[in-house]
Amino acid sequence: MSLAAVEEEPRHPEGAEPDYIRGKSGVMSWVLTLDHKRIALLYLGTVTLTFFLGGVFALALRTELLVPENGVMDAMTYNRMFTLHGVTMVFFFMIPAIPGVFGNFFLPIMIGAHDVAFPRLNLASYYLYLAAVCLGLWGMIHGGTDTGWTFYTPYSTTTTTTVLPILAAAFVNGFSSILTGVNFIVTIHTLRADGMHWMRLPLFIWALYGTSVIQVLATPVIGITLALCAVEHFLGTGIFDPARGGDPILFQHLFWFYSHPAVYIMVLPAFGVASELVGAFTRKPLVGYRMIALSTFGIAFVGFLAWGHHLFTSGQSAVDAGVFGFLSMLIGVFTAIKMFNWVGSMYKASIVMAAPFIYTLGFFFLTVFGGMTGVALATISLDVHWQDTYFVVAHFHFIMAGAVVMMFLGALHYWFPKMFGKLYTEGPAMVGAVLVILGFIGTFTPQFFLGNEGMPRRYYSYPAHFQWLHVTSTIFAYILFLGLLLVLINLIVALANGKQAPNNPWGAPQYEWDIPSPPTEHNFPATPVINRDPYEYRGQEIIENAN
Amino acid sequence: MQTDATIDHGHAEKPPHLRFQFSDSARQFHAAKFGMWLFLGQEVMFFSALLCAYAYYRNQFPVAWSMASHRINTTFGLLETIDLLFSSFTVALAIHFVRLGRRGITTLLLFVTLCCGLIFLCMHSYEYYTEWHEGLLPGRFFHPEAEWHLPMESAMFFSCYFFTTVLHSIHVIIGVGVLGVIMIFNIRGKYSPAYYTHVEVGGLYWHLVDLIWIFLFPLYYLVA
Amino acid sequence: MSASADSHANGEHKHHGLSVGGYTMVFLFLIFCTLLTWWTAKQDLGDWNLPVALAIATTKSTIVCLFFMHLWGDTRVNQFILILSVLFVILMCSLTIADVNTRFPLTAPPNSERFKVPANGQLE
Repeated sequence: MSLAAVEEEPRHPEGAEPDYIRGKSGVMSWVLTLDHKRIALLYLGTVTLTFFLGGVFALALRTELLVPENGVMDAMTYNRMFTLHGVTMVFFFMIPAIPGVFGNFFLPIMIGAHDVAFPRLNLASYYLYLAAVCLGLWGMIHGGTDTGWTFYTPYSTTTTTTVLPILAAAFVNGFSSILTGVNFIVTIHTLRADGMHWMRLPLFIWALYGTSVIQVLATPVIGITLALCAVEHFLGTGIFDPARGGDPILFQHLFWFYSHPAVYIMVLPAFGVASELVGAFTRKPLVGYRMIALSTFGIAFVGFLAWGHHLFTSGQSAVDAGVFGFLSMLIGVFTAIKMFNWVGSMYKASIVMAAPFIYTLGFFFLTVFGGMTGVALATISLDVHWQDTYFVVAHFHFIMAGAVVMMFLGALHYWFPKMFGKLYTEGPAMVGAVLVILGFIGTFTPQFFLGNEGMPRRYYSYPAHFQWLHVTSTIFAYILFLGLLLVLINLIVALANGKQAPNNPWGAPQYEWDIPSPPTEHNFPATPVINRDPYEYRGQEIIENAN
Repeated sequence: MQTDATIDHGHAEKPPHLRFQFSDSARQFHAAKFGMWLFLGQEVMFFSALLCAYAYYRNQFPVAWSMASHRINTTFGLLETIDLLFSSFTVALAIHFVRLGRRGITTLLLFVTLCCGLIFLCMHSYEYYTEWHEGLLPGRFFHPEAEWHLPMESAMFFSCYFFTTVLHSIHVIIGVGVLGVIMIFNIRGKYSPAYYTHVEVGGLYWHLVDLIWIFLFPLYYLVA
Repeated sequence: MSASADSHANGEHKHHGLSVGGYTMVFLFLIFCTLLTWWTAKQDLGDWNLPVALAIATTKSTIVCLFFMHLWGDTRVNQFILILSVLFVILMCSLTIADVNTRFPLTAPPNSERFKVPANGQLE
């Protein structure tokens, strides 16, 4: 089955409302827009730039690692590269990307609402994010910092590099995140259309709800922690300074109290997208809707209980380490519930192979291996060997990049026709997807071996016998980059020249495919009434598109 | 999703404050309150990180904590607590009266609340001034009188104290600003028994400022 | 929906708040609790000083939430938010303090409670 283009039927009959892109024109109508869909596109533009910027930092450090030492940069620059790569990717891409782009665009549509509960707050969230990016860029231009994205004390409080703007950028970004979370929770509670009871919500909405709860509760903690770090750096107040009775491990406790739930802010929306893609491309109702929905809250809750597993070798007590190790393993249970339900949904299904589904397959592979290595790392006796090695780096890239980036790209392709009213070309999209997936696997699998052999993370130089693994990793990193370039070019070409998209090019049953592509400004002429479940195929979608 | 069976919102009689994404005023009001409660929830988490640092160090250095606490002005702390409780009382009354349409009394009560906030800030500034002169400052600025025999870890108390109370005072300043804006809007007749969302939601924010202080007072001023 | 029905929409909530007298009673009770906490702090209750102070503070804040902030009779979801936040605060503080309290004693700061070498030289 291929995407069906509609040439004959006019999309906008005389007198009909124009779509949200062509509706209001002029720069100010975009800069000051209150339309959640336009705000989503503003986010899309910015996260694309930050993603590529983070990728440039990554390529720079991987290029340096082609040789055991003294490659293309000195050690200090290398330290800045991995720090800025982490900061850019974590704070400016992974956390805002899926909620900011697809959450903003589709949350109101999927629940039958005309917009989010607080549109002006939504625009404020975007500008706070943009301000954070600008602050971060300013810090980077002034040399950036070399503390690692985790800003551990005492180095972060004593370094002479420009750490303050980067801390400020992360702080401001936090406010963007919190306000988005508040907006989404209130919208889901108060703006659901008639007939949209809780067990009829698309699973992407459940995922956004869980994400928003974490955003609201966890983000303030890192705001204060980074502020404490900044004040100590600037004034020498000594809260984390042992010479004044302080404890650097307190910083780590406070930092990871947010940053561990933060990885679930990144991953839960990706899991939500996966549910949507599985629901669309398996052409049968999703298995285990209730379990997938409720396991989202399992992950969100247990995610708050596990932060100490980042402190296993830091000087934390053995008692606490034991408690955190056990609690960390529980998260695997809820993730496995989702995995088994998705795979069960694919069993005996008529799979439609298209770029979004290729990304879904890549997502499954990378998430399963990323998740399993996470459970292995939660085993304290093993972590003593792997902590601060490339094993950890490979683990979190498998799961964070593997889950989030895969699903970001999958969502981008899946919802592209709806968002822009154009069809992209499937051939280059599929090639791009395969390159990206192979690139990821090739970049990070050698790193598991590197870490297990003892190669520490964030190290500029290494013994010569590790070189072949580093070279393999770098080559595949370049393949990954080429794949991403191909994806970007293909989508830009589609924006310019793509065929007009019908309402439902995929023949998918979910609610957003009922409205025009692209949608009108207020999504629906009047508030709809929902009378079916989101993954309920009624047959006519298949008939309409079987040409 | 059926779009043929739709709900007519009675376009002719929509109140001016009702935004297009909401079907009725009650839902919009509930959404505003809910949004503010979520924001208050995150404010609690904001201060919780400082509370965690406080608890972490008090647990390790109880004697240093107690000695440091005796050096700050408990009487001022008590007066500030009473001041903020009174301001909570007046803002709750302001909401009561705006619901009854008594605009003049509402304005007066909002003004009194705002003044209580300013009084708090003045008292607190005086406390900071005193502590500055006595050398009771965080970290490397800690230079108390030798005769007080304060251990080094008391500086940690003052790090936590200054950070938390300055953050709280910033929230008081924001609260005073918000109340001022609401008071001006009220004078201009923006609120009525049908629409007083800002007053309710602004009041909730002000109560948070009071709630935080209810905990700060015993934790910082009354360590035995 | 008629205009008059909508004008009552804001006021048509399950809670109507207290009367002026009711708010005054609440305020006086809060002042009483404040004076009580000030007085109990001056008494030497040993290890109980902190729990008593926290209990009084919790009572005061609960009263402020229920009556001044109209949580009494408000939707369940609003009531739930603060409870959830407080639970997470307790979680964060308790596991962090437990870390310090269960570390190997000699790793604690020299002036801290944890740093105690028993007379017989046997560390726990």
